[in-house]
Amino acid sequence: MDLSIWIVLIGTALIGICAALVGTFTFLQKKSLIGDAISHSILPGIVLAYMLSGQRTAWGLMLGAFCAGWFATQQISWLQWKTRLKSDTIVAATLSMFFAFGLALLSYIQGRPDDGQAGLGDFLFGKIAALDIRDLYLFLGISTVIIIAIFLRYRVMFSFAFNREFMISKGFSLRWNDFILNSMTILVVTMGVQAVGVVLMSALLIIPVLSARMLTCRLSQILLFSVLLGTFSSLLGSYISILGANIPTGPCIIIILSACAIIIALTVKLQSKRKSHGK
Amino acid sequence: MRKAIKIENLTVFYREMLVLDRISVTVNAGRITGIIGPNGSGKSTFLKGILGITPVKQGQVSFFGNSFEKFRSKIAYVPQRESIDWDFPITVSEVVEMGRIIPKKWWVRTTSADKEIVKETLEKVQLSEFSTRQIGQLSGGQQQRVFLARALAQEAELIIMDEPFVGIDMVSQEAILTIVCKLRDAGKTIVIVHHDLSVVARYFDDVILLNKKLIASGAQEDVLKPENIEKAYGMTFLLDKQ
Repeated sequence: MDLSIWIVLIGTALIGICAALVGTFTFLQKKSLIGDAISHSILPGIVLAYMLSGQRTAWGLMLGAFCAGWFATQQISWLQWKTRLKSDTIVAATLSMFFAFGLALLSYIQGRPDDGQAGLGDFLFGKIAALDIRDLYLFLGISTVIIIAIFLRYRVMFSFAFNREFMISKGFSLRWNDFILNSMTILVVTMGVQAVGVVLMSALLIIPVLSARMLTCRLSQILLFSVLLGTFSSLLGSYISILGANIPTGPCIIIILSACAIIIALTVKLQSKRKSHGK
Repeated sequence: MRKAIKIENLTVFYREMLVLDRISVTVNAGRITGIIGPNGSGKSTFLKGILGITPVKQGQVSFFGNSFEKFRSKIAYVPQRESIDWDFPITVSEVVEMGRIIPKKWWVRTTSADKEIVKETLEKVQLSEFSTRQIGQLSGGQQQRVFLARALAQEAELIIMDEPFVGIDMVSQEAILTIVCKLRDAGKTIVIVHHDLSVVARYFDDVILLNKKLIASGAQEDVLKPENIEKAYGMTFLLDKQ
């Protein structure tokens, strides 16, 4: 196989693995919407980074994306602290605000005669074929950081998700826990938008874990199933997207992921019906 | 008598609303102390305030003469039932293992010694056979015993329980109270937030009566007098002292 295909496949697998791992903990901590807010919010970061640097390098755009994601999470935390608004309202408002700003900036550079949008539109729905070897090195670095952080902290994050007050009373820092989870979400979203795009990225975080949750109630098995499902869908989706000319990678991956989730849901339902009939 | 908790001038606001007004009270060591008051009287806030879960406006709290920071590893908190997601994918033994994890470590893991302690504590509360069950598959009483096991696994000196008897049947209530009494007899200090005056009258050694302010505190027979209860609840309750 061509080297570029290998790069795409390895890159996609890394995105699938990391999104499933981080998604499991955002789901358990009931922060799935935050992933959606972050993915929409990083669009202005990407476009601004491009406007400032004048070139489309993975490092530059990801730095911009990371900063924008970080600002969005800070805005959400600050509003939750200072206002009486419900957190879903705050998340929805932040998401739309940043995304609108991103779209406005994108249209602005699209209209510029000099260099066009340099393919930044790909970030909306994802285009994994654009991945090169330097991106892959960056992905490997980010994945290593995420996997090590989860290995070291999964028990704390898991316990926080189950019983926050107990953990605070024991002296664990809620801020530190939120900071680690938010940073991991921002990193994985920043990495994943190249394949899935900002619009659909949150699905890659949420659907694998919710499918796995239907199958089991053990954390280790949830992690395993969601990683398998996330990786499988990402690989198959991007492969189909590379073969078929006009389908963006993001929708391809998410359609496969959703189909798997529906099949799992129906199978589980059918089995529980059989069991109750058996009784 | 040794003082387990000494609270001075504890004042808590929720946004701009005053929830607890300058509470000064002590909790005796080696006894079961009930914190009683009507709904919205600030009982749970009182617990959360002394445990650093809710920020306090002013006040000092010491535990066996130590600051909260120094003593926190010896305090076990059993949360209110309604604050727990019973569908959460966690098993009985994983809940108890939470009692063994300590902050300020980079790699937080369960050692084989921890696993042994978890096994022993589950035996003590007679839940060994349920160790691999998901927490939601247990009855209300069994679930409360899991949280007591977590407190035991923590090797806590002070066990603080927030409304532990809500939504459980009389048999489970008795089973929990038996364990609590055994813990007290073993020298542990127990603080229980509760609203059912009949159970309080029978099992609790001391009572703190709250309604935003401290109404009365001391031995239960001194505190649970009609005039105090009227002050706290605004009406007279019949006490069932069987």
